[in-house]
Amino acid sequence: MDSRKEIVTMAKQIKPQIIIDSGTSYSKVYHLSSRAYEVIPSNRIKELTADYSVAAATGHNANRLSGYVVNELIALAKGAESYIKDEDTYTVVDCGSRDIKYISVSQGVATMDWNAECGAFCGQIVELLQRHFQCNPNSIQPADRPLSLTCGILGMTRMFDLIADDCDPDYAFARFMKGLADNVHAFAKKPDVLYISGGLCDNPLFLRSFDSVQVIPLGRFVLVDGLRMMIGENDSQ
Amino acid sequence: MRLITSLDELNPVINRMRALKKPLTLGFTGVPPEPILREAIAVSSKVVDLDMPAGHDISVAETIIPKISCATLRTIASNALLYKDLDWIILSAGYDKCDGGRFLGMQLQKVLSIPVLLTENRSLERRGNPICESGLPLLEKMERIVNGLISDTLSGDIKKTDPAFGFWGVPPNDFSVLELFPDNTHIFGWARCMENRTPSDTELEELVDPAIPTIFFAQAFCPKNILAYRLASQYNGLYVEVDSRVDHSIKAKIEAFLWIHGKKL
Repeated sequence: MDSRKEIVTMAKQIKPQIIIDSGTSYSKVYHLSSRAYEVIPSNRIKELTADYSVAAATGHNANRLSGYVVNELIALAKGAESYIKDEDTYTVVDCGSRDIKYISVSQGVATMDWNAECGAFCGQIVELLQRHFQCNPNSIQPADRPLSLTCGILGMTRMFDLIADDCDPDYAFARFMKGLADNVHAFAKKPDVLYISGGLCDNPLFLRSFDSVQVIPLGRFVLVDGLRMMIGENDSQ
Repeated sequence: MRLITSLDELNPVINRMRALKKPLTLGFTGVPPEPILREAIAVSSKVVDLDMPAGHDISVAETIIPKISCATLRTIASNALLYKDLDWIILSAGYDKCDGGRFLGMQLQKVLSIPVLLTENRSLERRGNPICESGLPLLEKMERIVNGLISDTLSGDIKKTDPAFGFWGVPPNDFSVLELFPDNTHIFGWARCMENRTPSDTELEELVDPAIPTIFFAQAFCPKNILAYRLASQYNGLYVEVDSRVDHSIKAKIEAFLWIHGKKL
C-alpha cells in the first residue's frame, strides 16, 4: 500500500462511524458512537460521508458508500425481528419512495416480494403531490373509495384528471392515498395485521386509509436496525 | 399472411436465394421448424439470431413498433432494421411465438426489401433437455440453449444435477440476471421448450418442480406475464417482470428470494 492510501485508510479509521439505509430520496443514518438516528436527503449523502466512515449500508445507494453492503430486504427481515419479538407469524411491508417490499413470516417460513417497476414510485409521488397541492395529511379525511393506481406516475395522472373534473384536490389526494393503501395491503397478500416500515409511517392520512386491517407503523429505521443487528450492534433495542 | 411450415413451401425461396450467387446472411427468430432452419442455414454463409441483443440502438425499433412492445420484439425490430448485410429472414410468427411476433413479421415484410418468411413450429417431439438440468452456470446453460439452434452445444461435460433453484421463463433480454443464480439452478418454461425444439409445447412450458423455489421471469409487456404470474402464485415462487435492462431493484429482489431459500450471499 502506498503512503497516500495508508493516510486515507488511517483517516477512515479515526473518523466516527455510521450505518446507513440510503434510499432514493432519503438516507436513514445511525451514529454508532452517539447512538443517535437522523434522516437526511440522499442528495446530501456526500456531505455526511466526508466526515464519517460508513460501517455498513443498505439501500439503492449502498454500493458506493460502504464495503459492507446488505440487501434491503434482508435488512428489513433482520430489522423486523428486532421489533416484532413475540410473534411467529407476521407481515412487514417497507414503503419506500421508489419501491415497496414485504416479508411475511409464518412459523419460520418466509415469503417475500418486491414491487420495483409497475406499482412503484408511489412514495416519491406522494411527497411531490403533497408539496404541489399543499395537502396536509394530518387534517385530510380518508377517502371513501380509492383511485386505481397502476403506479405512482399513472396514479398522479388520474388524480390530475379528477381535479380537472372539478374534484377538490384534498379529496383527490385522499383517493390517491386510499388507492396506495389498498395496493400495499393487496401486495402484502392481505394479512389481518400489517406492520409498516418507511417514510409513509409518518403520514397519518396513509395510515388511516387502510380498510379491514390493523396497521402498526414501525417507523423509518427498521432497515437501519436490521443493519445494527447484522454488525452485532443491537444491545440497545 | 402466409406461414411457411414445410420444405416444399420453402424451396422456391431457397432457389431464389441461391440464384443470387453470393454469400448469404440469414436472420432468424424464435425456434423455426427444424427442417426449415436446417435448410436455410445450409445455404447461408452467416446466420444471425435476431432475438439476441447485438449492441444496436433498440430505440430504432420505435420507427415501426410502439415503445411498449416487449424488449425481445424491440430487439428483433432494431436488429432487422440495422443489420445492413441481411439477405433474408425467417421469422417465427405463429402459435410458437406470439401475436407481437406475427404483427412485427408482417411489418418487416412491408418495410424491408429482402425476403421475410413467416414460419410456425408446432412440433411436440421433445428432444430432451440435458442442458436445462445440468450443473453448468445458468448463464452458460442459457447461452448453450440459444446457440444450440445453429450449432452443436451439447459437447463437453454436461452432467445432470439435483436442483437447488428453478428459473422459469424465456431467455432474458439482459443475460446478466442469470449471474445471480447458483449453478444448480434448473431451467423451466419456454427456454426448456427451446432446448426440446418444441416452442408450442404449452404443457412443457407449464411444467414446474414444486419442490424447488423458482423464479418466474417474463419480459415486461409480454403476455407470458399472465402465465408467470399465475405459476408464481400457484407454486409460491417469485414473479419477476423485467424490461430491457435488469436494474438494481430487480437484482436485489432476486438476491433476497435466493437468500430466503438458503443461498449464501
